[in-house]
Amino acid sequence: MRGIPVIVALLATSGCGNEPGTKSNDAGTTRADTAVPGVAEPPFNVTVPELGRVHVKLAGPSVVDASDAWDLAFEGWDVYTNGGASGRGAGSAFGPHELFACAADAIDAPILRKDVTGGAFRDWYAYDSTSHALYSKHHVYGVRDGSRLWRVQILSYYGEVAGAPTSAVYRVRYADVTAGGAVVNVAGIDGTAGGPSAPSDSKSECLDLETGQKTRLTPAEARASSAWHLCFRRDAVSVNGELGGPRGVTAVDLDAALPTPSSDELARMTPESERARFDAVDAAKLRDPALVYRGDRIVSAFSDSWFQPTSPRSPKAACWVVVGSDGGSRYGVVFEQFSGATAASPGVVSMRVRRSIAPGG
Amino acid sequence: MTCALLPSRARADDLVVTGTRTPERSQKATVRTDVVTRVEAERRGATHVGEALSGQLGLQVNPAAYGFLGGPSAIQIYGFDLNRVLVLEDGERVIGDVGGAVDLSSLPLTDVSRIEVVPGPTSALYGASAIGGVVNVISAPPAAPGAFGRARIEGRTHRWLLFQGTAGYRASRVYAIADASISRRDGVKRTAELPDLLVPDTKRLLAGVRVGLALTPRVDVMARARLIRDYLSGVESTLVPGLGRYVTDLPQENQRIALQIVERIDLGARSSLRFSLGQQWALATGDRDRRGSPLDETRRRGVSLSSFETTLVRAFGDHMFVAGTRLESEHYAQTLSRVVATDASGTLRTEAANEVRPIDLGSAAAYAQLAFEPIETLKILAGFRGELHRRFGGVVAPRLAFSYRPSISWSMRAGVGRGFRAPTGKELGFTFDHSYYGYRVDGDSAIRPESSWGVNGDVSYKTPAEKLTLRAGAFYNWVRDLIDIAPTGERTTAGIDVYRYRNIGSARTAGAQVDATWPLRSWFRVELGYAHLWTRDDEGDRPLPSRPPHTLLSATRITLPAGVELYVRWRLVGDAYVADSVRSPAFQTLDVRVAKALWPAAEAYAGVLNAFDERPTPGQLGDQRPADGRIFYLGLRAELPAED
Repeated sequence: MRGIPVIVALLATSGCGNEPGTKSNDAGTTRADTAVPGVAEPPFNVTVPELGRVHVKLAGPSVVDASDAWDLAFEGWDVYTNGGASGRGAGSAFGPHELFACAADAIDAPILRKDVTGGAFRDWYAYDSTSHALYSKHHVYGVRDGSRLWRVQILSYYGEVAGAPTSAVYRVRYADVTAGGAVVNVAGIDGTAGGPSAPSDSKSECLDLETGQKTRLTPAEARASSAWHLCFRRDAVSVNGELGGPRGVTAVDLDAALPTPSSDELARMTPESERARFDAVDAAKLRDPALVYRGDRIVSAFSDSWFQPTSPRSPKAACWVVVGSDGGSRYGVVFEQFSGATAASPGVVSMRVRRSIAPGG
Repeated sequence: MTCALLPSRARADDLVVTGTRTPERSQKATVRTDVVTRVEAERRGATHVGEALSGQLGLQVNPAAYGFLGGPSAIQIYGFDLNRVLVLEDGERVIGDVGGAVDLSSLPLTDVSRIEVVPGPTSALYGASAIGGVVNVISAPPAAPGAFGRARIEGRTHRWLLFQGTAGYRASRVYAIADASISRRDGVKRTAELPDLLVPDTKRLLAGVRVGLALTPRVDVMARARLIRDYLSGVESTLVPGLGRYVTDLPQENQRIALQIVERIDLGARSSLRFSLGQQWALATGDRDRRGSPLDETRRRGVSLSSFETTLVRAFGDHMFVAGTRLESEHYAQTLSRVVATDASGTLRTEAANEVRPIDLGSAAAYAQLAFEPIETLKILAGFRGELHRRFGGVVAPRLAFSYRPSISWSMRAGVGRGFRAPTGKELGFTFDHSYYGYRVDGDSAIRPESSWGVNGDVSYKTPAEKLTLRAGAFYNWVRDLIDIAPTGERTTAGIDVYRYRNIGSARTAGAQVDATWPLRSWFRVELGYAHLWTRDDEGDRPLPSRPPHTLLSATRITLPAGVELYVRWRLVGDAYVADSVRSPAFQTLDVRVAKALWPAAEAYAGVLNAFDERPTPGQLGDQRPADGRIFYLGLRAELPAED
């Protein structure tokens, strides 16, 4: 807890008109208040192009080629680790963590996340390891297709088939907020994709929010089709934009900042009890400029959370725990400053990198 | 005032055979051997081997520690669990399930004469799985010529009915015995509100035949056939988010067939040659029948063991030499077939797959042991066993033990030995396919046997008139290459994390035990004991789960006038580590039994087990309190004529 007084003091003296912990100047530079006692490593600058990737090896640190054993990659406003869906390494990351976590000799993290493919719906459920059941968190999502906006809520992962509960048979509700549309309830959306042992190219159902039409598509067909907004495949819900498909649909999780409910709270949630939070979302809320609408892409521990959604964007004052591509070395990373940021890139990212002595250091 | 037919307990000087494969008096035995006779087991209110051992100091037998349907009565010795304890029937290894677990509750006491427990690594004599110790369930031929019979009939709480019977005839050169056991009981509900059963409805049947023939004055042949069938009917329900509660019936049928032929040639001068040919099959079928739905599962399991063993016992003066060879062939397989819905419209498909791919294991073993007495008060035993396994090569297990009796009152024993456990069929060939959820658990044919070293010793003191016996002992074990599922999976190109069994663990167990037996009067006998157990998972730097560190035990037997016997047994089991921030609560059990001799060879009895009605808390992880709660029982047993 030794860093808390320092951070509180810094927050108290930070510049006016900005997000707490953030400063900006007239030269297009935004900073985070990231001074942490014990983090004395010199800043390292990496220039992020508006198109393409730049790869960084944290031991050093240095900019390296994609063919080298890189640990972090920057592409626009996305940051990736060299593991999971992003690379062939064994990298992963955790964050945002308390700033002072980066000052410890043993930079620890409660969990480490590999990069995965997904979008706004990637955390729609909570898995209960006792009952092996998936509980909807009943988050409300905003879905944007051009000028049209929908609010969407996933109500259940289970449907009854042949007298038995069957997973990946979804029940959702949605409403077109731009047209003042009525709430539509849809049950029995088939995300089973052929059952547990079916081939990976089995078809599952995708939903067009505009027409209510359901279309059965393979993953490859879905990526080439504009006939849907949301596609349901086993426990994954994808959005027809960016890597998800060609329609340019984007989405945002309006409740992403909420803590995961406890098992008891999840068990008590019903479509009826969670109706109020669904109804509370209107067009104004969905048009909040701070919301980051994205299509499906590769997401990492950094996605949408390593910067403040202000204008201009600034680094979040946080410690990021990064496991290198070798799967063993561990680093604490603090982003200090963006220089020359645009809508497409943070420009020059100034960061401090500290190698953990243990564990795995 | 005692009932002559019903000997009270294992006498301290009973003959034991398991520790060295040669008959020794237990008090003088080089290797510590605890004995529970059938009569003592029945006095404890036991109906099967698991219950007979559950009150034994230094052992834990607790179905709730494992918590799957049928609740195998799983034994722990010296902190080692059921997979690391070897269970024998008349010296022949009992096969368990594909994971190696032997359900002691499936071994009725019908044809049991006594149960010998040898704690500590004993692989030098018995090979694989004897890391924690050996349990040998021993039957006996008729003691006297002529016809004889024995029966026990009993009723219990949970509409539990038990019949055990044995009938036989012994002539001068031949005997034949038939054994039968039938029991049925209702299950125990997990909670009053739900249909779920903590203990399933159970029916158990045993039929057995034992035949002995003296071919010549020096050559005996014994043959035994046993069929055990269990029918378990479990129920579980699941609350499905958004849908409600669904109920699934879990019928399971287990069948074990054991055949054994033993030929023993008396070579004279306390020497003998023994041939044993064994064949066992353990077959099981378990269903998951969803009520009101065709989406069901059936799991079929088959394990078989063929064995041939030759044992030579040769006496040279005070030297006793034991040597033997053993050949084993095992087969494991487990299949799963299930009906699944392939889409939300209810299109059904039947899938079948190997959960444990068919695996054949073979091994050849040779062992030798020499016991000698360099001085009259000192006996030294040295032995080793070498095994060659088709899957993973050779294993050698040595053992050294000694006993020292400086006087008739004092006795000291110490031993050091190696134990090992061969990978089971499940660990070698398991395929638990949850690719749908992004992971799979696979066996690995490259894993090595677990191995251990253990030291133990004890000192006992007996007053000259044998009024009081005191014993204190301690042990320490190191085990490495423990087989478990590796916590880190390997990612396949299809994005599936594959977790495999690996040699990843190491652990230590240590403990001490003191106990006293005190026959204060001819009609009043007291036993007291305390056992301490310390365990450490060296990989996780934490205790091994579900190992209670403290156990206290007392047993009092009072013989009253009119042939009435009162037996009171109290046991306190301390709380135990289960997981970080989870402990199994401490509990105590009080068992009381009153028996009345009706005629010299029969008694009526009544009793209560777990009088304090300790029960596990629903949903509490690793709760080791008795799942059955309090049990009252009433029974009658008789022997005609008295065997003893």
